[in-house]
Amino acid sequence: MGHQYQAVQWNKNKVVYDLYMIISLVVFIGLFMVIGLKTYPSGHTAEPVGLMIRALGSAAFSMLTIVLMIGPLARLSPRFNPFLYNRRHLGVTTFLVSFLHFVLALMWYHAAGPLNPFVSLFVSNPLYDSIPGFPFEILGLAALIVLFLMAATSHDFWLNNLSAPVWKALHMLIYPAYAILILHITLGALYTEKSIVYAVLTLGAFGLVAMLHLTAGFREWRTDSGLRHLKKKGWVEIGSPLDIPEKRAVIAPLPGGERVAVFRYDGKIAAITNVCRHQNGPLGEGRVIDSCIVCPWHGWQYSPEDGISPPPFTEKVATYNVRIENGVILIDPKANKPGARVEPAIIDPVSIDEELAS
Amino acid sequence: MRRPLRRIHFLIWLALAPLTLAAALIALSLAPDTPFSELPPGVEEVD
Repeated sequence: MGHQYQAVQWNKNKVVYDLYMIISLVVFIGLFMVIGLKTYPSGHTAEPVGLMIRALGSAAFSMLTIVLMIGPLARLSPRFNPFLYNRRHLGVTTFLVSFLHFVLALMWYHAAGPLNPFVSLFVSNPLYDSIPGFPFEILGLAALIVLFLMAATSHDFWLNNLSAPVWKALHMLIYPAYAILILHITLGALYTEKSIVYAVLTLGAFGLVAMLHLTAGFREWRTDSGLRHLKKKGWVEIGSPLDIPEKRAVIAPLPGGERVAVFRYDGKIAAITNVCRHQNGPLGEGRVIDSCIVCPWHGWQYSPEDGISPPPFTEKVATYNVRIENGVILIDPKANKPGARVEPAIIDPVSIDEELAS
Repeated sequence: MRRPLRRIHFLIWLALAPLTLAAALIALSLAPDTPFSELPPGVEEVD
């Protein structure tokens, strides 16, 4: 949370996760090299540097594929939230591996001639008007620049300074970059492969990522289409308080495209915006722990009654007026100012007793 | 606050997925001497 600048906010989970990530990366590159050298076509001399360039490229592509799968998977099932919590380190490591791939390729293929390697990268293959002959390295460089932007602005410092919408829009550049990367691999590595397996794996990975994003997006669309009807005096009917599990919430779309998270806790009902101040995480999928709503994505906390983060933090989210009439929760769709205190609605104790008895 | 990019995010993937797959398949079909391309020049002459 945005209290004090720290370069990396380590905790035990992140250290363990990073350890798994580094071990997996080393094993992947090691296996790639060993299998690549052992299966090199007879009659040819194995090129360890060329293989390492491919190993690093394959590792970076695999890591980016995993990074891009985590978001929609977390939207589809909360079981994947721990991966979302640790996704940033995986993204930055993906950039570092991609950068090594780039440097090694630049040195190996462009540093031996009389031209500057960077100049050589752009002019050694002038077939910009040809599909099969297109200089695929340029596509890789374009994707690398986007990855650099992602990694350089990945810290919460940039998120706070750019604001969440701008930061999110900037980071969505990774999607076209992933598409460009597919073309980089297609025109590069796949053009020299005789086996169809690599093409199926590469395009299959892209198809899987696209399908997950579209499925998650379609589900969000359906949630928004379940807009509650306005009731008397413009309040929105949510449903019975007993339908909400204790310490949990229901998420309801409101007129104008907002979503409200309606929490039940300690015999009370309170409502705040569904959007976390940090990265727009879905607060309504979080839980009430120690009297605070905890965002399921990165653990940011807010009081359910005023939407303010506990000291020393200072973040605030909008609250909504709430009341219960005839056993039904009603929400005023007009949001209060972030941090405005509202009285939670009290659930009829008799109905709670009946719920416990049943 | 809304999540303003929710629908844009969906639309980006709706456009990106078919375009990228089509571009990749077209590129592969133009690749020389791969399982996706036609017989390389000269094979017919040998036959």
